Amino acid sequence: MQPGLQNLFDQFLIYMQSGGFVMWPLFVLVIVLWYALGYRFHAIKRGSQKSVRVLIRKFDSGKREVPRGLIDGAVVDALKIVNAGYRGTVGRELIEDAFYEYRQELKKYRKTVNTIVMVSPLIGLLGTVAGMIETFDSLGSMTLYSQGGGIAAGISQALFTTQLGLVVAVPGLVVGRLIDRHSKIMELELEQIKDIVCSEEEGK
Amino acid sequence: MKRIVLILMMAVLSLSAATETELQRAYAKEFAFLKAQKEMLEKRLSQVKKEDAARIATAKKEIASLQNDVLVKTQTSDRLGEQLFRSQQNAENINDDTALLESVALQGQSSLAPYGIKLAINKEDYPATLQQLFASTLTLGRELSSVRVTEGSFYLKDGSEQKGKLVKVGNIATYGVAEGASGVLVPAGGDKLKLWDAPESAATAAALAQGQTPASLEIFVYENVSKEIEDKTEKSVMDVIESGGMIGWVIIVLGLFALLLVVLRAFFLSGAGSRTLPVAKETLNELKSKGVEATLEFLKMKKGAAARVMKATVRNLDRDREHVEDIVAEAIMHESERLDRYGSAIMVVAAVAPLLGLLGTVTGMIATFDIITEFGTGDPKLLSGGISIALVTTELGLIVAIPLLLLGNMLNGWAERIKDGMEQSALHLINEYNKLK
Repeated sequence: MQPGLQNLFDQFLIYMQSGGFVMWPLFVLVIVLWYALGYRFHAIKRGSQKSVRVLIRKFDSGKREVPRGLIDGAVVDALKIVNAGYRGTVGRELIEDAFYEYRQELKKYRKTVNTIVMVSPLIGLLGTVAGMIETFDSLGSMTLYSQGGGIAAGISQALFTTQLGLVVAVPGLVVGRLIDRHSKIMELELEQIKDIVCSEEEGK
Repeated sequence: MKRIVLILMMAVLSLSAATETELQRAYAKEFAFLKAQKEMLEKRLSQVKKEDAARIATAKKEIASLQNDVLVKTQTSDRLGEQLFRSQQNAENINDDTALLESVALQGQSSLAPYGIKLAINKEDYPATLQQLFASTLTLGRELSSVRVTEGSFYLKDGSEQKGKLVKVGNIATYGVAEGASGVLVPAGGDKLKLWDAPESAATAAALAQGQTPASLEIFVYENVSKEIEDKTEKSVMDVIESGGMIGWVIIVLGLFALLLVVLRAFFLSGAGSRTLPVAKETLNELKSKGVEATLEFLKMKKGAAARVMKATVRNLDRDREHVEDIVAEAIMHESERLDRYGSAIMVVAAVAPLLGLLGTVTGMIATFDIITEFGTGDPKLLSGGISIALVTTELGLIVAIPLLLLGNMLNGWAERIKDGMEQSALHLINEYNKLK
């Protein structure tokens, strides 16, 4: 390993140690959280930015064929079913069936993100309580610095973990909410595609 | 008679005329005398005035010179007074300095005494004394900041005394090297040393005793040899729970119970979840190749939630669409009773555990304040011990709640996905069947 990298790694280890035993779970949760957020961010790629009606017309007329995102794919699937001759209630059911995967994709990791955002401040609080216990124990024996803690280390741990818990939770909350809003909109758009495709076919 | 009278009158008249001239003469004489006297007096007066003026002038001159004299004298006296004051201050300062020097010398003497260095204090010649003090301190400092090996003894873990070499690193750490037991030493009170429970320091001690530089220095730095370092007893998990009291135990038992429920629920879900997709696929294949009756027979052989839902679906495939969907929903509802089992219990425990922890903390705080009312705030050990115990229950509550929240939510999501999968598979089956018709 390069010396610079090694140095960085050492610093990271010191950082992790200063927060006590809650740091590693918190670290794992951060990684899972941002993986889940990244996945969700990737999953809500809409494809074209045009409205659902325009997309259906374009794909139907054959002007475009390759789907570029989730909504595009849904439109193509829906048109395939309708063009195969299924319409009315049966067509609706088939499209609903075909959309199941898209819906699952939109929902995936939603609960994970929410859970981690909920749990990480609690973990921070746990670290704070552990640090307070260390502090008060050390106050009892009047050791300012001891081999494994002491008043100073206890207080630092107490402050540090709450801070880190919030640092994990707040961005996760904000980004998660933004992605949630997008995915809700896209779920509505899937409904819209179903309605438009079926009603247009009936109207023809 | 008349004549007589006349004569008399004549006589009187002549008499009177005679006296008038005499009077005038006397007056003139008197006047001349008085005038001469007046002139003489005036002359004297002016003379006296002249003399007085001269005398006053000389007196004034004299007063002025005397005043000058007084002024000069006052100034001199002020200056002298100031000088006196300054000299007194100097004398005091010198006294103070002497006392300070004496105390410094005494302090030096007493601090050097434990190292076997005797300092003679010469009250006549403080500079020499101080010079000696500084010189011996400097050599002592050099000696103390080096690593040196001496013979001595230290105490082992079991309390027995062990003779061996003592490696002193300056005045801040000591290693003991003896047969069978070596390692870093810590103060045990009363200037004795004891072996610290750190087996990895044996190599450092051995290397230092042989005058080598060890690769890594395992060290225990102490402030003072006379202050005992207590063994830090590792708190075991049981000790922590024990210190939480009744409420600590309640939290732990609840947590274990909830963990059991989590395991059971995960077991149920993995049973139901893993079989949903294969069962749906097989059912579809059977239905396509053999027909409804054969599929029903096939499903009767299978067990599990997914198979039951499929069975209900296949049995009612020929009814009208809305009816079948209702039946599917009903079948899933029936299964969800099993899938959702223990879910809410786990979440309840996750919600209750931190509250119980809070309860324990408040109880502990009340106990602490009871102690304060009884013994006052003098001893920090009493207070901080109580507060630390009070916090333990909060810690336990959080330790129980956090994994339960994580696991409970994950299991809920899993159950949700399984139900969605079942519904989806059933609907897919209906759609495929309708396509076949």
